[in-house]
Amino acid sequence: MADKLEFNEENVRAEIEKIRPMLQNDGGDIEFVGIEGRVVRVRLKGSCSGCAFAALTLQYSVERTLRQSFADLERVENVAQA
Amino acid sequence: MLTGGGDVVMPDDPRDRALAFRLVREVTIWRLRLDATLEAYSSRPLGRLHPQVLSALRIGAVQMLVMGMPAHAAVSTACSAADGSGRSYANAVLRRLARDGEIEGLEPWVRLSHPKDLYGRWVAAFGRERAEALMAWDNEVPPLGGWSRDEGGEGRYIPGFKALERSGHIPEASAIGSLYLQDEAAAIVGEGVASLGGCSAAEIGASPGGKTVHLDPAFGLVISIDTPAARFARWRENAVRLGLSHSLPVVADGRRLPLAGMPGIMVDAPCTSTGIYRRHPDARWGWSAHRLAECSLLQRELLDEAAAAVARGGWLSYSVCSLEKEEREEQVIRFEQSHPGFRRLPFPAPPVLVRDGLLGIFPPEHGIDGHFAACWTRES
Repeated sequence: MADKLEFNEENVRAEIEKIRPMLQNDGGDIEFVGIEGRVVRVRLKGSCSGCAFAALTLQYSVERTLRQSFADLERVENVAQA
Repeated sequence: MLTGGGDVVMPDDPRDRALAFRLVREVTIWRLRLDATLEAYSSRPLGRLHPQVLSALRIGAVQMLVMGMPAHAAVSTACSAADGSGRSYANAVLRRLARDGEIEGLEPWVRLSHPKDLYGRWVAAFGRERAEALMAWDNEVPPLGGWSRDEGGEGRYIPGFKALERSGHIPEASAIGSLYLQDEAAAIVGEGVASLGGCSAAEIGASPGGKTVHLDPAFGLVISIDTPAARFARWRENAVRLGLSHSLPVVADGRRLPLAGMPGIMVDAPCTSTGIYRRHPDARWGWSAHRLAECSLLQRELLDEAAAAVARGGWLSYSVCSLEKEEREEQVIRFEQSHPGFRRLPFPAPPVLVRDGLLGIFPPEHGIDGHFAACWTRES
């Protein structure tokens, strides 16, 4: 399946911007780190970093939302807080 | 359709199927009223008749008294459901009904076909006139409709709710499309909770998905909890059909939640369902004060457990489809007295349906099913 958007840093960053308000609502945040192959790396911050549901939220929210725009996306990975 | 042999066979013709559904619905609803007249005209007590003969009598009576079918047609179609001596007996009783009509002087709960003690309760709670209006409402055929985030539609109270034409039979899949069939009142509860916001939420009492369909697009993650596992079969069908992608089904007892620190929890609690009898013709016959007590206790346990799993700053919602104060206002007051850290929020719904911050629908006055909902924020 072809991507609806070209899979590049600019487009992925723009899509992640759209998800941020939902996480910020609960005192969390997400930062785009980079792309490696077809894997998107992000950093969950704020209350997200200590949240027991962060991994699930990443999979159910961030990954599925990105997949709507980037069909060939393999997965989204959380990079531990620096 | 019941045959003389007592088998249940679904007719192929959609019109016959529609008639079969209608007969089952009307006989179920009007049982108490029908039996009062049949008992008077039957030389044998109804309880001693063969079930097939009793069914034939009720079918004949409902066609004559409720559905306005000419007597000769009602007698002949009803009697075909029995055979042998049962057929002659049913024929004789129904002919007497055709000649002499329904007996007079029925008590109001018999005339409106509801349990006697429920009638007494409702008269005490709502007054005679409103109680009887409610019972008449329960006996009406409900309108068909559903909610969809894609299909547009304009409900009586909220956008996104779409009315469908009732053709008399179960609508084809193409007519339903991406709609989740439900009453507008259920959609109002679902949309209200969906607007409470946050990155993730849990719903207790998730199946068959009538609230999930509202929560799924609003949250990054919805943990949909119910038990036992078999209840998730319909939830899963709906999730696949409607493309719900943010919801994770979890089999768990809401009284022992595997959760902590949730940003939001919706408790859509089991209840006596007295607000939706119109859509569940048999539900009224399951009414009992004992069941009310059982439901109230379970609701209390579910609320207390959910409250403990809500994070500070998070929200909690409680909803039932009941009209009984024990499951509505009294549950709210008890919860607030025992949980001072929770502050009531005005439930996000059209103001005409909200009083003291609580969504409270009285069907004959608001024109939709009798749902109730409350929500709070956890401050400490």
